[in-house]
Amino acid sequence: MLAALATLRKTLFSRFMAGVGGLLALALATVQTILGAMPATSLPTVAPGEAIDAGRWRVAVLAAKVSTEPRPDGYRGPQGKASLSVDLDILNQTSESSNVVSRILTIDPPIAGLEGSPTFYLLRDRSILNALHPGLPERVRVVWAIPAEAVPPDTVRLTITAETFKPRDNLLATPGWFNPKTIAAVTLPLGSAGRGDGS
Amino acid sequence: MRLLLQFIAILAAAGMLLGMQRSTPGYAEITGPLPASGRPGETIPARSFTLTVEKLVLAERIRYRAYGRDFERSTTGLWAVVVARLEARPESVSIGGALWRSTAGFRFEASQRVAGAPRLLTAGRIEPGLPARGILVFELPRDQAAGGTLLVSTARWPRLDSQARVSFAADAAESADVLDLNGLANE
Amino acid sequence: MSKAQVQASARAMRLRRFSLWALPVALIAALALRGRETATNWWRASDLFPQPVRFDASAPLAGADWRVVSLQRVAERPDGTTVALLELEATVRDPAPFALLPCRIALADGTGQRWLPTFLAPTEVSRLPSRRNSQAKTCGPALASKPEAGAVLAIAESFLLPRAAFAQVDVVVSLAGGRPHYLRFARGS
Repeated sequence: MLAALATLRKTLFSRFMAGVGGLLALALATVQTILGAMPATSLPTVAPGEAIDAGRWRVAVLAAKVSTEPRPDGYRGPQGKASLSVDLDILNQTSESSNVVSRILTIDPPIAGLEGSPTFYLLRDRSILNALHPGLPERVRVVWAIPAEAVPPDTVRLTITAETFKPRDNLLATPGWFNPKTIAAVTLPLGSAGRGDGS
Repeated sequence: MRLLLQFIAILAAAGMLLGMQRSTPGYAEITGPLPASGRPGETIPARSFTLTVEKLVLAERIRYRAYGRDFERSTTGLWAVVVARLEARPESVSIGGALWRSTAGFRFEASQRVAGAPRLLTAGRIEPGLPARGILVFELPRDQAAGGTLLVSTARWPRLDSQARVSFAADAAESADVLDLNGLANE
Repeated sequence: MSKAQVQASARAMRLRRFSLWALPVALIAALALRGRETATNWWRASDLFPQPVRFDASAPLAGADWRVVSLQRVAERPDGTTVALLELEATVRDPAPFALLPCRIALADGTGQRWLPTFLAPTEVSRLPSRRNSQAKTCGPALASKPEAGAVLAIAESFLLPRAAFAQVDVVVSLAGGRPHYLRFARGS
C-alpha cells in the first residue's frame, strides 16, 4: 500500500517536472518568435563607400546612377529601357567560392517600373559576374532595367541583407548561411544629372 | 545521498548523450567524397578517371585566345594554373568539380573568368583511351598561394564518389609574370 | 512464491523470449519494407543482363524492334581520335514502355570500356552526304516524341573514340523500359 503511494508520488512528480520543462520551452520559443517578429526600431545608416560586415560578404556601396549607356559587357539592355546601376566593392568573407550575391541589396522603398532581379557585372572583366572567391575583393556593378521614360527619384535607398552562419543545419548537419536579416541602409544620390554620362 | 547520486547519474547521461551527438559525423560527412590522394607526378586512380598533375604555375596575369579574341586577365591575387593529364576509365566522363583547398582550409572553385580558354579540363568530355592533357585555372589571394591541395571529381559536389586529391608542397610552384595559356596547353 | 506468482513469472519469461526472437525478424522485415523501393529502383536502373545480338540482326527491347543501320567513321582528328556516327532504327510495337526515359546508347569494347554519345560540331557530321537531309534524332528526343505503335524511328548518335578501338566496339542499347536487360550488338561474329 505504502509502496503504491510512493510510486504514485514519483509518477506525479516526474510528470509535473516534464510539464514544467515543456512549458518553459514553449515560453522561450514564444518570446523568441515575438522578438523576431518585432520591426527593427532603427536601421543603422552607413555612408556611401563605407564597408559593412554583412555576414558572408563585406560590402561597400559606392555610387548609383541612371543611364542609357551600354552595360559593362556592351549589352544595351532590353529595348526602351535605361539602366539603374549601383557600384559595389564586395569581398567574400567565407571560406568558399560563392556566387549567391543577389540577395545582398534591396531597393527600399522600391522604385516604380524597376524590374525584379538585377544583373551583376564584374567590372575588372566587364563581363557578367560568376563567382567571388574568398579573400579576393572585386568591384561589382549591379544593373536593374528601368523604363527609359520613367523619372527616377533624386535618391535611392538600399538596404543590405546579412545572413548568419550555422556550422550544422537542422536537416543535414551541413554548414550553411541562414536567417537573412536587414542590417543596414545606405542612401545614394541619383539625380537625372547622372543620366547619359559615361562610366 | 541517493537523490544526489541520481542527479549525478542524470547529468552524466546527459553529458554522454551530448558527447555522442557532437561526435557523430553528420549525414554530409558520411555520404561525402571518397578521397584518392597523391602527389604531383603520380597517377592517382579515382573511380571513373585517373589524374596525373604535371606542374603548377603561379602567375600575375594570364593571357589566352578565345572566340577569336585575345584576352588578358588580371587578378587581385595570383593565378594558379595546374597542368594535368586526365584519363577516363572505364566510361566517358566530364569533370564537374575542380577545387583548390589552401593550407588554411579555404576552398576556391576553378575560375569561370577564363571560360573559353583552350584545353580547360573542366570544359569538355574525356573519352576512354584518349587521355586529355589540359589545364585547371584558379584565382588565389597571395597569402593563400603557398602549398595547397587540388580536388578533382566528376560531380561538382561528389557524394559517395571518389575525389582525386593532389597535395602540393609550399615550393612546388613555378612562377611567371604573364602566362600564356595557349602556349602552356600546347607545349 | 505462490502458484499464481510462479505462473505469472513463467508467462513473462515466455513473452521476453518471444520478443527476443521476434527482434531479428522485425528488423529484417523493416529493412525489407524500407529498402524495397530503393532496391526496385536500382534493379530498374542497372544494366545487368546483356542480350547478345548479331550486328546485322534485329532484336526486341522495351516495346520496339532495334536494328543497327550503320556504324561509320565520319572523320579522323590528328590526335588519333575517330569521330564515329551510329545510326539505329527502332520499329515501335508497344509505345508505353518504349517512351520511358532515359535511354543509354554506348559503344563498348571487350575490356569494359564504354564510350557515351557526344554532341559534335555540325560541320563534322554534315560531311556525310547521307546525313545532310537526315531526320534522325538522338535517342532522348526520339523517345520523348511519344511515337505511335508501328512508327519507324531513325536514331543517330555520334561518338569520339580512339582509332584502334573503332574496329572492335559493340553497340550497346539500354532503355528504361527494358532494364535490367539490354542489347549488345556484337561486331565480328
